[in-house]
Amino acid sequence: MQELSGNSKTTYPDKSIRRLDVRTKMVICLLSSVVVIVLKGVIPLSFLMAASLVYVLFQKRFGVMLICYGAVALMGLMALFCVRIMVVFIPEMGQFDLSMFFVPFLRVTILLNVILALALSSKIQDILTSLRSLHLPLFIYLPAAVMIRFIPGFIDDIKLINQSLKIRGYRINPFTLTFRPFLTTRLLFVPTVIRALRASDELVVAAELKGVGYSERISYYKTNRFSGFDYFIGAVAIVFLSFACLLEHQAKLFV
Amino acid sequence: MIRLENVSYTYPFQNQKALESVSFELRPGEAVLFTGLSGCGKSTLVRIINGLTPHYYKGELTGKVFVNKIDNASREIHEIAGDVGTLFQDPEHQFFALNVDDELAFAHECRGVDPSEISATVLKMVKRFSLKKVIQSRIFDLSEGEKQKVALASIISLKPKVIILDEPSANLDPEATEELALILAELKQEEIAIVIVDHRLYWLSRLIDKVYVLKDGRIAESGPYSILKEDAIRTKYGLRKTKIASSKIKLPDALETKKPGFKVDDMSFSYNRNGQALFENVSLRLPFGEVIAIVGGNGVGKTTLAKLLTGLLKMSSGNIFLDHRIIPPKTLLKKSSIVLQNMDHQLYMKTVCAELDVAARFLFKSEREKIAKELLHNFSLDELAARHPQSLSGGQKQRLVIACGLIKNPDILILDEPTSGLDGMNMKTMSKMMKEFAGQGKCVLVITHDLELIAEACSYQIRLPLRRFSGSQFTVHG
Repeated sequence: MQELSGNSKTTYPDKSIRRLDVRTKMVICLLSSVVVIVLKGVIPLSFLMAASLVYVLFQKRFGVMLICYGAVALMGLMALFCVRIMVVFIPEMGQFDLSMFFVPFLRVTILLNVILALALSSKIQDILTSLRSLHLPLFIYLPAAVMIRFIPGFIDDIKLINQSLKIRGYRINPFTLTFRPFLTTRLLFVPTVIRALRASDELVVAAELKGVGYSERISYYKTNRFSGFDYFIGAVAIVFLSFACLLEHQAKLFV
Repeated sequence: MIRLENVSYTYPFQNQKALESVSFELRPGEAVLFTGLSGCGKSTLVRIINGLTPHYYKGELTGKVFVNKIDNASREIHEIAGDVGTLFQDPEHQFFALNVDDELAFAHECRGVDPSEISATVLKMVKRFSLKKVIQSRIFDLSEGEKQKVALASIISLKPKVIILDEPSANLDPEATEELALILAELKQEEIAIVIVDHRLYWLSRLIDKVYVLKDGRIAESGPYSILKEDAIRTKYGLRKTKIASSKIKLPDALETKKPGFKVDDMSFSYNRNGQALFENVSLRLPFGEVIAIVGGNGVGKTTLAKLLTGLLKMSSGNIFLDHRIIPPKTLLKKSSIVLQNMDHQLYMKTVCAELDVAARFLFKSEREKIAKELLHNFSLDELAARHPQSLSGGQKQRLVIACGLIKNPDILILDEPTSGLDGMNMKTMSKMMKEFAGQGKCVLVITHDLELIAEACSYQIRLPLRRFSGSQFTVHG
């Protein structure tokens, strides 16, 4: 988040995933999501889970990882609790079996790892440059670039709203959300919505005054090139994903 | 280059005209200034020239507007934009990229210009506007002056014939304002016509060929810049001064006062745990009963200091004392109020009255109503009590946010650039309010580049970067 905001001055070690082109990381995310849908076995998914964990651990952002894993664990526990209750009241659903949750949990954590690696190692600027490098048509590139460009501003707005609430003595937490839901929702949403509306209005005006969006074609001043490291990591990812598919296939043969 | 013939304009759902019978002409290489009280129609005029009105902002427009001899009614905004470049008050609002060079290239990319040609244009602008040092910088890391130069370079790269600048000096420090005046003088020599809308007048004396003073949507006065030097005209139209004593602030340093007040000792702060410290072992004195100006260039940490002094940010080390007792950040939050620059973040309720009511929720109802009524009156908000806070003008919103800050009777009141974009009359009202509040034995801190406000209201200054305390000696840090 801090990195995405564009205001962070965090530096990364040279040999981190940060050196990878954003497109490489996007392709890894895309391939991983396709493969985890196909895979059903615990062994191939566990293998991918371990590989993706190593991939994200290179970022050394253990605090953020811990928070995300905590959130996934909380969601998992809530799902377990709900199913347990449902089984009690609707016995037709069958036996409550913990192993039922293992495969979805592995799928979620694999995706979490690859997305975290992308988010924690990519600056907004890198994403914008990568978008250019994809040579997308104007009607796709322009809205996407503008949306991404305004993420840092939006994050700053949220921070300022939070500070303004603190100075007025408002607390936004589960307690206030439960006991003063209307006021708390209003305090959070009114300034956020107003800022979003104003930002979009300013944006339209700026776009009109720059004559943006009226040309039939777009040219790209600066684009990224894949490095040897991108090809290497891309190849490693494909080998790992293929191996996981092979494991799945082998497991089916034995069954 | 620009000709307005008897132009009148009424916003949708309004009865009163925002502009009435406005006519003027601007030739290539000329610079004109439009000034007047807030709400006199300056921004509407800008929108009419660049075509935003009536193409984007609808309403009823009568009369003729010609830019480069072509009627604006016959062209779309992007076609008019080929002749007219507009610089916003906050240039960050018109940036589409995150890096300086990408921003300079963006409009050309969207026009499908050949990449080699774009590179040449970017290089030319970098050289012309001395942007070499910041070419790879993120726009968030630039000072306000640098942002303005980047925005101007981006506009000039599109080769406009007219440039409109909307309150260009509002967020600039005196040095950056001087630099802007020099850049505009060069553009004038290149036969570019310049329209400036501003409240601050002192920096324009050598640039402006003709001045138009607007009042209630009409041109009330016009003539050479010298008409603004007449006290009678400035007083009549609530304008700011044309001369300031000096761009250097000569106020006693708050650090050296022995008056009672808050004391900050050995304060250190850094945004990143391992990053460079913004403040390192610095000490401050904040005397009661005084208005203190926090001054210094952009990016030296003025707003950060304000947030540390109100407990919004936590110091890495050091303490704030009052009567030899340490005040923890949570207590500090209760004892202080801060009015940040953007009012939209600080208004939440349905009506002005409800906003004050919620801000004073810790008081008894009878007391709350009494104080709210007083504040509404003191800040001239009585008639707006039933209005939605987000529907108010910028100045009205600012007064409301200050009133909400004052309702908790803080010991420290901090205002972040409270007069950027304020006319002379409202600047004086703001100054009076600050002095009155300080007069109640409170400490008022104002982060500002506004030399007129400093001369009018402040008795002490804190200049950043702050001096570092090391043993018995102070050294400059930053």
